[in-house]
Amino acid sequence: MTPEEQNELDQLKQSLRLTTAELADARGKLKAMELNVYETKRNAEKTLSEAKALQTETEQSLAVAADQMTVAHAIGLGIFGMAELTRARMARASAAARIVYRENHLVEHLERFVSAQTVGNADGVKQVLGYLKEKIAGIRHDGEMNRQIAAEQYLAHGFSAFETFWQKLLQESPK
Amino acid sequence: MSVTLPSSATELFDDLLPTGIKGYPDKIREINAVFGFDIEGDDGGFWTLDCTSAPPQVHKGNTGKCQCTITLEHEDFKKLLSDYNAGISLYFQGKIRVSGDEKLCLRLGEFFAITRPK
Repeated sequence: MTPEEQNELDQLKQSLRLTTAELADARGKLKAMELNVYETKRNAEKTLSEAKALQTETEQSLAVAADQMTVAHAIGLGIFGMAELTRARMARASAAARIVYRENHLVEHLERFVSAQTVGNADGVKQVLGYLKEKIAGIRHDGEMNRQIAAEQYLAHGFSAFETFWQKLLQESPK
Repeated sequence: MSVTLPSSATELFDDLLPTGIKGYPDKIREINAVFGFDIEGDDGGFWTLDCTSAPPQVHKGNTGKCQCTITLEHEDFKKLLSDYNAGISLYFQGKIRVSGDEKLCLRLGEFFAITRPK
């Protein structure tokens, strides 16, 4: 082997030694990276597990809070409702009292109204008056509060409706 | 005749409610529970509302049959007479306490629907 060849061989060996060292270093770094990735993954899984546990706990707390809110709301509704119950009872009594008063007043007024007129259709008018009396009496005995209040309004409307009907009869009846 | 809200627990439980429940005995019996109301403070007291009896009844005092008892200060109780939304804030402030079967409180809310048309 010539000195030049020997020299070249020595350089190649030196290069090879360097390459081997670099390779070992790279392997070491790769191993470290693998460990790092493994640790990171473990930590991520642990964090995810904790987050899920926290989510479950939060959902349970929310469910409990929702139940408590429902109970709280029901208590508020209940006590208020009991107060409303008494108001409704009293309002119904008031409405019933007003209906009785208006009924008596209305019927009395209608009878005076009819007797004051002298037209050929008095029988027809009396039939209408009788019909109205029955209608008013039927509504009055209905026990539901809302319908009693509606009856009160009906009486008010019924009176004006009867006046309208009466005026029409006056226009149409023979003189 | 003016219609006003009761102004105290005594007025509600002793005077008005016994009359009020006579108007809706069947609907109140459907609630089917016995409630105790322990009202603390001045003009307070304990009342038992028995929705299981025929007819439903209000008793002064604890009859020993309460399945669910609601305890609160009289001043807080008066707030609920005119504002049902106050129940939530009072409850979460700890000013309304429930003992016994808390779930029965849900039935108490049915009083609200009794006077309202469906």
